[in-house]
Amino acid sequence: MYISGYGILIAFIMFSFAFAAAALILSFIVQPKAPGKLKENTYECGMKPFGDSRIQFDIKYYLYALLFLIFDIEAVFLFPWAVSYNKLGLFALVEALIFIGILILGLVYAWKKDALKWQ
Amino acid sequence: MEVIYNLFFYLISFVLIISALGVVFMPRIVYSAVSLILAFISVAGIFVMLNADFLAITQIIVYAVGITIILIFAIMLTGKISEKKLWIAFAPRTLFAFAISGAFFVTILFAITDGFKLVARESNIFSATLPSLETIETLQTEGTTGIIGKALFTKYVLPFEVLSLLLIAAMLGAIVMTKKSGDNLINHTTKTIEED
Repeated sequence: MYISGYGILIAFIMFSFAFAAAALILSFIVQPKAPGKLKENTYECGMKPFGDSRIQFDIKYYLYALLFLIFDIEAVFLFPWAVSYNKLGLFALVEALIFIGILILGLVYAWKKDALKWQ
Repeated sequence: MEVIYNLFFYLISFVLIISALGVVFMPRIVYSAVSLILAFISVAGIFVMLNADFLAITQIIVYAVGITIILIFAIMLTGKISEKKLWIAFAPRTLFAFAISGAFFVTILFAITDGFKLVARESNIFSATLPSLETIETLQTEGTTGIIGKALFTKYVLPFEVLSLLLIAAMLGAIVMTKKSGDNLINHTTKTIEED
């Protein structure tokens, strides 16, 4: 049954949780405790922190989020191709390359329009 | 095997419900978004338990990553919203929300108490579209991703390629709408004027 293949995934998740928990708990146990007001201050590149940590970001970032989302969807559709790659052969490879190629055209357009340039 | 299956199901459901409650009750909207990621991943776990592995990976790639990124960007880009608490205000719209979620709850209750099966049996809607036992068996042994991949690159090649056109249209739309129109043009003309 194929679901038993998820055993290794579960082991991986459990190990990573245990590893993170062990690192936190161990460092909490062995650390020397000498708290101070300056020590508990937020670290900000050696400067005194000012203002609020949650500020309004520039709308320019949104384009990157949208472009990321497009290539994210591309990854979803290339995933089944990658899984059954051995059974599909050359035709599917050409199809996938056309699929990627059309999307790369969009990236080239973004490049040409200076959309990726930081202004 | 059955016991382990049930154990995992209840564990994932527990995490899902707790994180979904976290989305509603967390004090900051950013914490709610992080809690939402956990909820999406738990739903992916439930998809895995239902032998729907392609849906599970799609759930992670699209929802837990893509949608959440857009959500967090929306929070970051709107200035003062991130500090606001999500209070449940008692306005007329609250009644609407209660009515809609109540109707949804009744629908789910109807579904899990086999109400739909009775309706389907009486009206014979689903009898022709139910998959055969062989199909179900191959799905359980191979998983759905390979089968979907095979179908996508043999029978449904054309929709697959048209999809890339849809994606490129979305991409061009995003570029055109976020870039100010004529931005590039003005730069070019000023450049040529400077060169002259």
